[in-house]
This record gives sequence, C-alpha cells and structure tokens, in this order.
Amino acid sequence: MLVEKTVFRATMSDARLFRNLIGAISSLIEEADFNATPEGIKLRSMDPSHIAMVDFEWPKAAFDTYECTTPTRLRLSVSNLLKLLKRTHSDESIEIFYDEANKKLNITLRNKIVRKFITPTLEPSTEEVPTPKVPFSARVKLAAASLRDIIDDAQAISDNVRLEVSPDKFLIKASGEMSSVAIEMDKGSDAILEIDLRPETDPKTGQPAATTTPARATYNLNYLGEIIRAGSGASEVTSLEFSTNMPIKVEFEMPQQGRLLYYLAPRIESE
Amino acid sequence: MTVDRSIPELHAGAVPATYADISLTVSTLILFAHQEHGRSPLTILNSPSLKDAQDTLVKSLESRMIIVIVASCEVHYSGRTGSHLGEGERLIIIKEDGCLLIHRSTDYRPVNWQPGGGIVQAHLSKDRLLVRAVRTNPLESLNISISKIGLLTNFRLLDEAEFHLHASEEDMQKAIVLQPSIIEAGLEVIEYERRVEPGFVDIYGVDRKGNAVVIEIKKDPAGVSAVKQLAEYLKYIQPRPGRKLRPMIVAPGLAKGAQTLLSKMGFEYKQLSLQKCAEVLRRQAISERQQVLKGWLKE
Repeated sequence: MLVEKTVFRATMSDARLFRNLIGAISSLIEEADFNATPEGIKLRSMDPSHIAMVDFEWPKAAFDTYECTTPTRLRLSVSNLLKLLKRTHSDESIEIFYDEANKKLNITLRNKIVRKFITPTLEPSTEEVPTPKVPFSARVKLAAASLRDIIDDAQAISDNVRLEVSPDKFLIKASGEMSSVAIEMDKGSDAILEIDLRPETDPKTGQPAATTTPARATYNLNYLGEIIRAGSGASEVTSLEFSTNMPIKVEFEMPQQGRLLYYLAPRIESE
Repeated sequence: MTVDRSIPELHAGAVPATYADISLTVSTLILFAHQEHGRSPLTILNSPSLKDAQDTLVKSLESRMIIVIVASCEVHYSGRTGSHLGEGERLIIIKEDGCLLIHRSTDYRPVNWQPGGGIVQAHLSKDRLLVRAVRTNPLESLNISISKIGLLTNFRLLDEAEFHLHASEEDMQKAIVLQPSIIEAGLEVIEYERRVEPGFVDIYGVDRKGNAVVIEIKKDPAGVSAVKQLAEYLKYIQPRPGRKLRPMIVAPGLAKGAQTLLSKMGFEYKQLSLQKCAEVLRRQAISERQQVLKGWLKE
C-alpha cells in the first residue's frame, strides 16, 4: 500500500511577501540550501566570494499554514525561484509543497485562477555555514528607506563608503575621483531611531577597552547597496552593527519573529 | 583650411527651428527608405492639423510602425508613482512593440516612458490630441495632451543585425578559473589551456566526486561544430581509474541542432552568460583591501 506523507507544505495568503523575501536573498546568492524543520525555514549562505552572508529565518508562525514532518534540506536555484515568483500578482496566495518522490518543488499561486509551477531541486551540500563572531561596539537603528537614500547618494560618488558612529552622531562618507559626499545624522534626527556606542573589545583578551572611541569602518558599496536595496524591499526598519575595521551586520526587522540579516566583510583602508 | 558647416537637409520634410517657421500647408511625402529592399514607405507630415495627425497616428499604430512626433504637449503619468510635465516642446517616439518614449531637448534618458506590451490610443478632444499609453500590470497610464504638432513621421526599420557585446571566451575562462562554482558547486579547476593533440582544452577540472570535467567554452550560442571539437579532444583525455569523464559545453546558449547532438553524445551543457562572467571579473577587481568573512567564522 502506498502511504503518502507530506514532508513539507506551507501556505501564505500574500504571495508577494514571499517573493520579496526570496528577492532579498537572490541579491547575493545564486544557489542555496533551505532548511525546513517543524519550527520553520532557515537559510544561511555566503556569496561565492565569501565577502557577504545572508542569514534568513522564517518561522512557522509567519506562514498561514505550515507542515513539516521531517527536517528537510532543499537546495534551490534562487534566481530560478525568483523568476517563477515574479509571476505573482497582488491578492494571490501561495502554497509551497515539496514533492519528495520526484525531488521537485511545487509552487501554487491562487487567485481567480490556480497556477501551479513545478521546479527541480538540486543536490544539497553538506556544508554548514557558521555565524560570524564579531564583537560589535556600535549600533544604529534607522528607517530602511532613509538608509537606502544614503547608500544611493554614496554609490553615485564612489565604490566604497566609510561609516562612523560616535555617541551622538552617525556619519557616512564617500569620496570618488572627482567628488565626495558626507551625510551627518544627529541622535535627535527623525531618521535615526537609536544610536548606541560601547567601548571596543580587545580581540586578544576579549576585554572591553577603558574608554569609548568612535567606531569607523569602510564597506564596498556594490555589496552594501545590494543588501540595503534588497532588504528595504522587505522591511521598513534596519539596524546596523559594526566595530572599527570589523564586519557589519545589517538586520531588517521582520514580523512574527522572522529574521533577515546580512554580514559584510570590511575593506581595510591604509591610514 | 575650409570647414564644411552646411547642415544636410531632408528635402521637403526639413524640420524648421520653431513652429513659427512652419508653413500651414501640409506636405505628405512618401519616400523609400530602403531602396534595395523595395517597399518601406516613410510618411512625413509637416505641421499637420491635429485631425490629420490623429488619422495617420491611428493607422500607424494599427500597422505597428515606428512613429516619431515633434510636438508641444503636456504629460501626465500615474501608476507606481505620479508625475506631471507642463506644456513644452518634446520629441515623442513610439516603437513597433508599443513602447513609448518622451524626450526633452537634453539628456539621453526620456523624461517619461512606457514599456511595450501595453495599448496606445489616440483621440481628439476639442483643441487637443490625446495620446494615451496604458499597461495593466502594474496598472500605469501615460497621457500626452498635444496642442500643436511640428512633425509626425512613421516608418519601418529593416534591422536584422545581431548585437554583440565585446566580451571574449578568454574572459569567460578567467571567470570560471576565479570562481568555478559558477559552473557547479564543488568544481575545482586543475588546468586551463591544456594542450592535447588537436588543440587546447579550455578548462580541465574535477567535480566533487573526483570525475574529470572537460569544458569547451563558446561566447556565442554553441553549435554542432563546438560539440564535434569537444568530442575530438576527448580522444586524448583519460579519466583516472574508476572515475567518469564529464564533457561539458559552456556557452550563453545553444544553436540549432546542437541540443540533439549533445544528448546523443552524452555531453552536458551549462548556460553561462557573458554578463555573469563580467560580474565575476568585476568583483575580482575590487581591490585586495577587501576582507572576506572567513576570519570571523568560528564554530
């Protein structure tokens, strides 16, 4: 007798939300392993050059219905998936179902008409990507749209951007061959929701320094631009965390304990 | 030294500098733009009435011709956002696929535009000619309200040439060597330009399972000759005992007939665009000051 068992099936009433999430991943990653567990979907993957990482979690509660009987790892071509999801209209619901027997992902979009897309899954990798361990000294929380504007300004001038956080100010600088731009946001500014600066941690001893110094670091704008543009499409609030010449963590607030965050390695500028 | 400052003129259809210069007579000219190909009529309406312009416009839209209009107009756009452009002289272009561009006197970008695939209509309303371009998904509409037309012309372009982006097989090879995962995860490049009797193997590598991967790169859609060339190289390559040989064509696309031959020979095909290779090379060019996350990844 044939026993049919659902390994993974989930639905969301707004297909566009799912599309935006996949869009946010596709900016950095071509192929990725999605880990489906009874608690939700997780994905952690580095871009091919190992400069940036995306860490994404979409818990069971964020779906309208969610069913996962056995933890399953699905490797998918993110760009291919996005191509299908771009076909979603507004007011459409989405159902994602893994057909384990045929190793295919079935995506059903429902509105007035029901459309079912079937796409192959790839051979999953066995590699686990750990989270970067970075002692962050600065944290800035701001509107994603404002940050996006700032990054666009900087990208018009240069390939790199220098971020600086002092106790009462967030300073963004970019300089190109011809022009330069400096954007200063005070703690009281409407665009800033929070600024927090702690003493830097000594990398050798792990002890915090006696005094608080401004955190300064430079990041590549091609990467940071992709990250900010992708995330601001899925969320309204961003927080940035970094320390002097350390990776930056860019986190986008998500509903229902969902998580969308990125890490980006710094550039070390000669002083 | 003499400098030729004369401006080449279109005989009867030359566009005067301002509307004031335009005589009120409407001249319609039928020229033959491509004499060698025969029929390809070109209509030029010099300073037509709005009614005449509408007639020609409707006919041109129906027959999907390219339309170029110089007119004084106002432009409204509503859709993803909204915009309004007050009265002024503009250059309006409607292409065969229905895409519409409105240019001002400077800038390479149009001030307003609508991609193809929508509906373009022309109506007369009192003393204005209304051109409306609508797209349903997303719902957007571009409305041009024309008060006066200096020039309206329609034509077809015979253009079958292919567009070639200047990238080379060498760039593709470099990109694969730098980042073999663009072919597949776990691929390692052992050697490139490996000499074999009939020529050079573009990329020689091993996959995750230790199988030999022999890659032939083509920057254009790969044809039958590429498959045959790869087959020729294989005669001189032996995989290690117990391992398979995986011949692979890497190209932006496949030409007619190549797919059949590929499957007959048991060769693989991996699609790789020149843009993607250019992206890999560009990222590599980001200076060595760029750090990677590795140092911070501790279990």
